Amino acid sequence: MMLSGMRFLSRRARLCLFMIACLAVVLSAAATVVRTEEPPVFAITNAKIIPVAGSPIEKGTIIVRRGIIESVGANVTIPTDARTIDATGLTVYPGLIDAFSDIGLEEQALARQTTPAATTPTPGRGLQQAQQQQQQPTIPPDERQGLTPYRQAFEQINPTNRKIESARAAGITTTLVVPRRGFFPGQSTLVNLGGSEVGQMVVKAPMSFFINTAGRGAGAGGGGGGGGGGYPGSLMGIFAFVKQTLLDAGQYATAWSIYKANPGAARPEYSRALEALQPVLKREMPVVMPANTPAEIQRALDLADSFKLNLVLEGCAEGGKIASLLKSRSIPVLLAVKYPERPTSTDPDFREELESLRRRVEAPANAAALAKAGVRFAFVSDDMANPRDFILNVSRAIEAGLDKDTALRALTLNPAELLGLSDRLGTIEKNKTANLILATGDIFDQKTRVKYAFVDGRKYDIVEQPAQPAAPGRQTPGR
Amino acid sequence: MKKLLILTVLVVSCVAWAQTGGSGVVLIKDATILTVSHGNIPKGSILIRDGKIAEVGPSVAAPAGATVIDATGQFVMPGIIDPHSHIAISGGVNEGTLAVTSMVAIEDVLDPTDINIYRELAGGVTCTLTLHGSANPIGGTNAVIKLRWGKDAKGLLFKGAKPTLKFALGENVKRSGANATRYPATRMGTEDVIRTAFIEARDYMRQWDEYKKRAAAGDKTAIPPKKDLKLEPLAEVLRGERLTNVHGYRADEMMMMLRLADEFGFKVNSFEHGLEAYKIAKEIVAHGAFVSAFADSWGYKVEAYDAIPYNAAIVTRKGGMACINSDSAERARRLNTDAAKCMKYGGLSEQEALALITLNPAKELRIDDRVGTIDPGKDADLVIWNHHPLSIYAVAQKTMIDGEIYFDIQKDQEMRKRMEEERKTLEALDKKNVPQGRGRGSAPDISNDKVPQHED
Repeated sequence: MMLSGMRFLSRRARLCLFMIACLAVVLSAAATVVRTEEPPVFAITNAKIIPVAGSPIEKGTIIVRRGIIESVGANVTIPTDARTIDATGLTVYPGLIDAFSDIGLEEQALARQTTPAATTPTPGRGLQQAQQQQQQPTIPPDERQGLTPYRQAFEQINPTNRKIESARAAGITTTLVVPRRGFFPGQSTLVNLGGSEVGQMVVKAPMSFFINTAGRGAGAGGGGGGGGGGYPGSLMGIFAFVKQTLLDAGQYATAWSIYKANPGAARPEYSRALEALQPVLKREMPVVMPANTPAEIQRALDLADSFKLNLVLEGCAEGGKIASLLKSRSIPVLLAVKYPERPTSTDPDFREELESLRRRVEAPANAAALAKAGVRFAFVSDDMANPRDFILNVSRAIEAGLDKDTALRALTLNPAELLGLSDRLGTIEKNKTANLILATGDIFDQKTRVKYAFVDGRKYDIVEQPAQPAAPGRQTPGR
Repeated sequence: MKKLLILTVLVVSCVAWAQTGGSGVVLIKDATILTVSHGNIPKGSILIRDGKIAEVGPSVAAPAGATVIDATGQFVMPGIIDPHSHIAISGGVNEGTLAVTSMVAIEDVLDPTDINIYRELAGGVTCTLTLHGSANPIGGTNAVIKLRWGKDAKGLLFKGAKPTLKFALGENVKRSGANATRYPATRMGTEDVIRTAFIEARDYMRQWDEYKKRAAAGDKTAIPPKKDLKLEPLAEVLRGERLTNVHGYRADEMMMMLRLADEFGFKVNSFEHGLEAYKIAKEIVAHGAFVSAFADSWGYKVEAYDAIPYNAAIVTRKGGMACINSDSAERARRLNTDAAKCMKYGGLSEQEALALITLNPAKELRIDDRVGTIDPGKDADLVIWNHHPLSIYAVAQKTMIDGEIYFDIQKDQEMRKRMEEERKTLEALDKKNVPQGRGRGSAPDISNDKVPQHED
């Protein structure tokens, strides 16, 4: 139509216009292609498939379309638009799920403690201190004390963080990223480890709260004596702080509901932190608490009971010792595998305490003890620096007696169920998210390498990671 | 034939049951019994049933099925009660970051795996008051525990003991303050902090009273105040529901505290250490405070310069109640000889000396209806010694709590052998298992504070 209306133009002019129009169409089409970024259709063929749900398939095919597993089986027709990946000699597993990590997390340092107002300035330095106080920005007291339950993990995830790559190389394609700084560090986000923007990674947010009773606050004074500010410094201080905060959150809800229902009532103060904690008290969101020894586990249970929290335990390094209690209370367990290392000493007469030796030798057998008692758990890396070590430590749990299928389940379907996403993740089945790893052998074999990872249907070629030397004397939280 | 078989089985099982003493009945036989309440029985026996002392006397018969402990030539004494201890605490003895920390609770952080529990059993201790440290004018709430080695944290608690709150005066508080620019840095500042805290507590109580009045009158706009974990224990002190343990050395600071207590209408229940108590014994006795002191420690701080080993004796002679405490996991294992020192210094009698580490601390903690002496109806917290406990040669042979043996010196020897074998096995496994080289991630921090605490 357009062309017919331009009869008055010269033939050359018509040709130019036509070419410009074509160019415009092509360019706009190209722009459209870039914007949708739809992963191509893949057919993974000749693979050994471990679906986790159901028996392994010795030689089969998986079709991936639009980030979803379209079909999986021994005899699957390969669609004509599929890009084929010949997985002969490779084993395909569901992408592993790490249900508690700091992968990709880059947290801002907590605001440093300012000099408290009511102090006696040291003689001669008073003016200097006063000037410093004026220059430092005002840090809200909640943040100073590590009370930031409103923080979302996704606000602090860097999609280009190197640990994401390391995690994929270890076979992890989904993880729950949990903020750590402070005592109420915030809320976790479930992400798939692929994509160039955080928005592409997020599977669900928020997932849970974390109450870090093993954390250290903004100030110093961990377990020690005097210090100006930096409360809480001791473990009992942390528990008192947590209890008081939860009590305050309850009173906050009461105060506001009375205010709203009664015109004559005084208006309570607004508190961002206490507002954010309301879902915790109403049991709408689970609360994760760290606990490794039986005493710590009991402490966490007591705290959760007194505030009727929906508790999830993380760590449980010695959970096997009270496995029957965990089973009877049906507490979800996020099982860390940070085994203790052999202590070193320059003292020639050094003799390790039997308890320490026992703990180290028995550590890998903890998972088997929990499994034997029927406790359902998911393996987590917590804050391990190297995700590959995480998987290797799970292998050590298998060597120490954990059934291999249980171990695999604890990295796939169990975390998916615990996270409430077993309809989307955790197995290789039709209509599930296309999170897959193609490994050169048994995933728990030390020699096995992950060759390809699919995250939301996007294919990642795993580059061989150079050996990372252990950073000497590296301080990690909790040491 | 069948009936005979059934009968035989029945008889055999009855005999077997009887031999295991299935009913929790124990007889400690033929020992010198130091009752503390009514003198010594040169040769007598104690019958224990269901964790309580059932009978004490020169001739107590063993019922059928009782486990008999032959204590011929040995001495039985009530379990030692250490009213000032810092064992079995996880994650720090002090919350020293603030001057007033009455919201923190030792009960929240009890560590039942602290080996000091077991070692103190070996020293004849059965019960301790585990306290917050002395970094703050007002510290945390404390826990009375029995040393039931092997039980979990809740299993240690002495159910029904009256709640307590720790206070501290003097150098430890000032030093904590001055080092990190935390107020107070002087004794006068310490008094101000305590006074201010009690004034706040009074205001808090008034707010709650007002709210309750309004709510009772049907005022729907009444909003309940916050429950303040810091001010609740202070309010309990003012209402007489919570006892106070005040760490203090100098006569002047102790007098200050007595006057402050009178001002606010509560009692100082005990002065911890109170090494200058002898200077103000009259005032302390008039107030009704206990003095929970060391036997003969002196001069380790400026405020300990005027300490004398006659302190406990003088307080006792003036009609006061003195206890000897340890404030140390190491000293707690020789409280028996510390008590004996008060016989040498000040001439206390054998009975008075024994009371310093049994009945007196029991009274201080208001648990003397349950422990502290050997009398029927009391808990079977008993220690069997190979010599008179006030002798330097005395070594505890068996320590019993609630009728159960928690320490047995012979079993301890056998256990050491087993532990050596276990060590060899574990070391072999360890060499095989732990891979060398790359860091395997950080281990969870589950070590106790193993440094012996000297909070003096």
